[in-house]
Order: sequence, then structure tokens, then C-alpha cells
Amino acid sequence: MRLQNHSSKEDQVPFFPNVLLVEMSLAIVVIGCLAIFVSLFPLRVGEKFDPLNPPSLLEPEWYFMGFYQFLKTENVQPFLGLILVAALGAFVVLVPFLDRSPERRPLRRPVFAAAALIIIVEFVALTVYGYLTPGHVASFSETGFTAVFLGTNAIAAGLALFVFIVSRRSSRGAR
Amino acid sequence: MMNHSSGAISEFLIVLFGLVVALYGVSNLLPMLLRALIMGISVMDFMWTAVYATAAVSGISLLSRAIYRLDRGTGRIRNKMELFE
Repeated sequence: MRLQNHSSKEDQVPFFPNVLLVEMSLAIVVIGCLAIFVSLFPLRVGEKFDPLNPPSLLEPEWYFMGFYQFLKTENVQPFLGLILVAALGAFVVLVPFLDRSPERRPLRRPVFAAAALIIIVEFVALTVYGYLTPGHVASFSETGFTAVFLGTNAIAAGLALFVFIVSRRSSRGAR
Repeated sequence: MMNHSSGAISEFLIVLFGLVVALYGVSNLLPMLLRALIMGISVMDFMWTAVYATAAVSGISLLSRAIYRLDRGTGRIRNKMELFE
């Protein structure tokens, strides 16, 4: 893991101003988009929570909705779901240690690109499912939920495989 | 081999430490800023905000440096950054 060859000063990019300028430009774009978005769709703080009179339906914000939908599924709650989500978090932390390929393009790193695609698609699918069925405790014995869960996985894996095969053929053709 | 694995373990510990410190700093800083925006800021709040901001900046810097060095080890970094070398 140690760096074997220390590069000379000439082939290094200085943090100031080069890197900082790029990062600041990106930050301005992101903050600009965020400002436009919150101006168009302002979010109210909402009513104050009263523990003596709680709302009938308690659901998390959108960024936790996918995980919440998975965790409240009948077959995995509570421990298996927690273990699986923790394992996913550990996998994400370990990716820089596991993916040691020198390739930069995702298509040349098919295993990790497919894993990322599956995780993102599954997260989006569970979030949408959570919003469409508020308060509903899903189960893998339900055909609809299982179809959504496995179907999105299959679609993401199929898409990753298709793009990988196409890119491999086109790179062979280029040679 | 020993050197390699101990290097990997130390990099892993830095990533974990950076992650925990960054999470602690950011997740405390944002509610603090919201609170300061709504209710104004006292001296004590300002001091805690400074502590959380320092933790957030340190954690994110540690984490980004650790991930940069891991990527650098694989050869994925083209433009080597002076600050992290």
C-alpha cells in the first residue's frame, strides 16, 4: 500500500489554485442548482411533534426511505436487515481496498460497476415502492414486492452485462 | 508482505477514523447552523460550531487523502496533487 515511486514536483498539480478552482467551480454549480431547486420547491418545517398525539404514519425522509422499506420487510426484520445494511455499508467503505484495478473507466471494472448499478437501482426501486405503499409492511411472500426486489436486481445486472459485452466488442473492433 | 499488510491496515484505520470524525462533525454542524439561523447564536454555540466545523474539515481531509493514496497505489490518479503527495 505504500507508494513506491514518489513523483517529482514537476508532474504534480498544486492544490492552490488548480485543484481549488475546479472544486470551487463545481461547488458553485451544485449550490446554484440547490438554490434553484429549493426556491422552486420550498420545504416547510412542518408541525411540531407532539408525543402525546403522534401522527398515525411515521416515515423517514426520502434518503432513508429505501433502507426503511427494506428494513421493515417482514422476512428480514429486525436483525437480518440490520446485518445486511451494515454489510452494505462495510462493502462501500472497503471498495477502495478491494478494487485495485488500474482502470479508470467503469466499463473496464465490470464487477464493481455492476455492483454499484445494482445498489443504486435497488435503492431507487425501494424508495419508489416505499412512497407508493405508505405504512405497508412488505413481505417476500408477496409476489408484487418480490417481483420489484428481484426484478430490479435482474434488470440492473442484465443492463450491466449488456453494456459490458457491447463495450468489449467495440473495444475488440477498435483493435 | 508484512510491510504491505501493515500498510493496508494503517490505511484502513485512517479511512475508518476519517469517516467517523467526518460523520460526527458534519452531522453535528448542520443542525447547529440551522439552530443558529433560526434562534441566533450564543458564544457557547459559536464555540461548539467551531469545534464541529474543525472536526468536519479534518475528517473530510483525512478521508479524501486516504482514498487518494489508495487510488494512487493502483495507478488510477493521473494528475498527482501536490498537497497529498
